[in-house]
Amino acid sequence: MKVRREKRLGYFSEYTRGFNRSSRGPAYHAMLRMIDSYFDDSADDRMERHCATGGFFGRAVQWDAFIIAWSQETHGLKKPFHTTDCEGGYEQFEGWPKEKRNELMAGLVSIIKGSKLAGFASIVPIQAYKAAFPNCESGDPYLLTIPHTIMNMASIADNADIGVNIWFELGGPKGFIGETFEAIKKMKWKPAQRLHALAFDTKELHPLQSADLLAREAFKHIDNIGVRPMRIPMKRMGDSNFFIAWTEDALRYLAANGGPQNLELLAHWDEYPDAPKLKWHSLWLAKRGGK
Amino acid sequence: MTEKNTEFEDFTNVANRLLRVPHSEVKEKLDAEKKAKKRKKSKVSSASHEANEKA
Repeated sequence: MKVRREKRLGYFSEYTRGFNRSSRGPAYHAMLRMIDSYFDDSADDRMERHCATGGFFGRAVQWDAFIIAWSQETHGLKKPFHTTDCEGGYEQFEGWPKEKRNELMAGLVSIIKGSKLAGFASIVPIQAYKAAFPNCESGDPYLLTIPHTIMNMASIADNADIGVNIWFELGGPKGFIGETFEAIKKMKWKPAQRLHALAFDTKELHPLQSADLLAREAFKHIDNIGVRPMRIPMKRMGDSNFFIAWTEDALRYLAANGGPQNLELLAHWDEYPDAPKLKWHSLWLAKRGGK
Repeated sequence: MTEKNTEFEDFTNVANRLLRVPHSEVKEKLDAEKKAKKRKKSKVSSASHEANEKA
């Protein structure tokens, strides 16, 4: 007699590691109708210029293909891929010639492009934040990127009539992120109903390695404006990446209206006629605008 | 923050387009990347092989 073996569904951060997910097949995941999104943070060493939360989102079929390709590309590494180390030749990349490191980076960017993932980043100019919130603590500018990112993922999911799971890299302020996620979920704001689950994991998870790459590219992109030309990974990925940077005006307006704790203001920002517009950065928008 | 603004509309349009990409297209693209990389590697290795022979 055949015994039907029921597989227990593990933690969702567990089944996205690749093995469980792939064994369930595309039909199962299509049924889930979910966007999976992965985020990490980046900033300059001294946390003086810009800080960013950035990452990619896509459907299970995209992430499945991504995970297979990414694991093949990085299988020779001793530790999880870390963009800063690869670029600078630090840690496990010590002794690697620049060409070899560039080649790995280019290969990983090709995988991101090929997987058709979309990128999002929220960026805060740190000095402008400190000017708007003179009594803030050093980590506060980064905290603003958290509700901003979660709300944008909720809006994207709502627009696509689909749910969204969000992962953050474990090294961040887990408590704050969890509280913010729950507070947004409880809001009477339609997209908030799309927030399905929140999880934290290490960079052992391949999608979080790609989030590390995008967060760094987002930070570098804004930090380099007017100083250095656009970086090659950004040029190659740019069409599907959208970054939103807070401006001085927007931060002052936020400070005058309850600060980042005012989630209602954040959720309905564009409905306030006097709220200054945030600055969008995207190669797609630039091309469309003929810039 | 996210609604009633043209950039956001563009963002959602691009995202929706990407989210609708069929698995076959993603697989095809990644397979093509892989083949291109293999071709490049074999070219490099044959070139370096030739260089070694000359040396």
